[in-house]
Formats: sequence, C-alpha cells, structure tokens
Amino acid sequence: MTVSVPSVPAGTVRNSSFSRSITLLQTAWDNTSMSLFKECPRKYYYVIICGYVPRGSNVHLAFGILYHEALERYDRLRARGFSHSDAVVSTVWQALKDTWNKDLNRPLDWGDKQKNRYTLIRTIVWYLEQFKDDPLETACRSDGTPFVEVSFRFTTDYVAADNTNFIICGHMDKIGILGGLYWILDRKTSKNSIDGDGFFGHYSPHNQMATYDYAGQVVSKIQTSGLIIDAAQIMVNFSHFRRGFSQRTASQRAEWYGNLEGYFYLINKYAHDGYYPMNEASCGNYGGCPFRGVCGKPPEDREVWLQAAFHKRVWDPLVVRGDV
Amino acid sequence: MSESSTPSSPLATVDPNSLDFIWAKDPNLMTQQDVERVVDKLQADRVKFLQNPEAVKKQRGKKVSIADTTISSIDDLGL
Repeated sequence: MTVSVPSVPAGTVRNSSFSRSITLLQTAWDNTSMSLFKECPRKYYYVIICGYVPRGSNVHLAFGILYHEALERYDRLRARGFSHSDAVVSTVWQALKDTWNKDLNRPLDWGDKQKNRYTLIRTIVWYLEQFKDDPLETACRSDGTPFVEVSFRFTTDYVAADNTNFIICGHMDKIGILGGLYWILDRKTSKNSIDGDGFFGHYSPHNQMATYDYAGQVVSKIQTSGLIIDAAQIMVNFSHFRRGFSQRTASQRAEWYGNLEGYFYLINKYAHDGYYPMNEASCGNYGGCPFRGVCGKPPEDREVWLQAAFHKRVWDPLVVRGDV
Repeated sequence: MSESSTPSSPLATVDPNSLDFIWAKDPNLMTQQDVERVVDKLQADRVKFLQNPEAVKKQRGKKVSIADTTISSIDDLGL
C-alpha cells in the first residue's frame, strides 16, 4: 500500500532551528514544538515544518503577547529605578499604543467579549496593583540588568540524525527571588476558572514547566528552586489572579529528561522516513484541533484545504527575545 | 433625506474630557494626565470589585463606549 508522504512544500521559508543537511529534521526544540510533536506528529508537521496557521487573528495569542510585553516593560522600568506609579503609567501608555490600529485610526478590535483592549489594560493595571508590593523581587545580573524575558538554550546528550546534538531552548518570563531562593515566574491568562485546589496541579506533569525547571538547573549560574505561576482569569467584568508554585524533585527532572530520548528517536525516524503519523486520539482536545477538517479529507485533497484555510509563518525557536 | 433626520456624529455628543473619549483617543495624542485618569479609574474599579466581588461578577450587559460607537459607525460604512 502506498501512503501520502509529507514533504516540505515549496515556498517554505528557511528555519534556523532545522538541520542544514536533513530538511525535515528540527534540531533545536522549544516547548511549542515539543508539545505539538507529543500531541500529534501530523499537527507538528503542519504547524512547525510547513508553518501553517489558521487565517484570521488568534485573540488568545495576541492578548497573551501584549500582556507579557506590558509586564516585561513594567519589570524593566522598576529595575531601572522608576517608581511603581510611574512604571504603571508608562506601561499602560505603551499598551494603549500597542493596541491602536494606526491604519484605521481606531482601537484594535479582536471581536471577543472577554479578551479585548479594555480587558487587557484592566488586567495589566489590576495585576500590577495586586503585586505592587510583591515579595518576589526580580533578580538582576551583576551589571544590574533584570532577569526578565530570559532566553535560554542548552545542548542535550541526544544525537540527531545529522550527527549534531539536539538543543532545548525557550524563553522564561522572569527569574525572581523569594525567601532567599531563586524562582522562575511564568504568567498565564485564561478565560476559564483558575480557582480550585487542582488548578496548579495541571502544571505537573507539564512539558513547558518541566523544560523551564530543567533549564533553571543547567543553564544559569544561579540555580532555581522551581516555578511560580501567576494565573490571570479574564472575564467581562473583572480580572482575577492566583499565584501557585510548581516544584520538581531531582528524580522527576531526570525522568522528564530521560523521556526525551524516546521522543528524539521518533523525531529522527519521522524526519528520515518523511512521514508524520496522525494521533487521532488528540483531535478533540482543546476545543478541537484546527487541522481536523484537513485531516478528515482524503490525503490527495488536503493541500487544497490547507492553502484555503491557512496561511504561513515561520516558528523559529532560536530567535532570541531577551538574553541567552 | 431631510437634514433633521441625519444622524449626528457620535463623537459630537461626547464630552472630550470623559473617559470614554480618552479611550477612543489616539494614544499618540494622549497626555500623561489622560493615561493617569485611565489608570486611576481602573484602580478604582478594582477596589470596587474587591469590596463586593459578587455584585461585579453579576453585572450584565455592556456599557456602550464611544470607542464601540465609533467602530460601529465605521463598520456601517462597510470599510
């Protein structure tokens, strides 16, 4: 039996996280890539290798980026010595500018009741008020620059099919000091409830948090004790915050790292075979995979559907945002 | 259409010192005072929420702001 073998479609832009000698082989992996691969190799292939993303704006992504950028700005201003109130005004002003559509001379409109310009600015102001006297102080380097939007990368022991070693990389929101210990801070936004005892339990096991936690042990000279998660629930009339902790033992870290071996084996194999199987068990997760409509079509028809409903962008984990 | 039936611009009926007007203003033209008013109002809303969260959570409907009105007007033009 012959199967439709995926290949990199013509016109796909060069991505520096991929091997120079094996076209389909990604050698630098961040949480986005790895989580997609673990969820469904075919979805990973569509999103990371081909670069397909649904047409239209993704309100959750846009909201999350602007929220993170605003809080990063605040942290940097505070580290430079600005007062809380001055830093808040500057942060809000920039967020207002970032959500202004210059072409149409009006505020950006994502068409979402819960995540929109007003709730974004409100959430920024309310978060900064709630954590105005935060006992978690932003850690700084010896030159005084703060550990905010910290890009990291480390080489693993696992060998890729092109004879280089796989790299793990990513970006942490912030490293702070609490109780004399270093912690990695990650900020999350959600429309769903963040209350209940089990909410922070969702972050262990969790690929992103495990990656940050491991990186916190091996990348920097300072060793981190674990993760602090600042969750924000965004509703029409209010924003609500909770802070939780997520820690791992040395044996848990070793287990996560050991599990990578099996995944990197499959990554080498699929890149060699040029074939990324579907995981049909995950099609209904997170409200339904955006590629479900494509995968539900006969293989010979899928390219047409992809081109109609998706556009392309490059996701390159090696693009540095902050400081490595 | 007679002149009397022509709808007036939504911007014409709004107090230029109101917060709704500030929200709809190009932030590049805002003053520091404008931004401080936005921040103060949001901080006051937070205090109100913390004092009686259930009342705020139960609020229904959405106050139509000048920003929305302007957007609706532009949308009506089919631009």
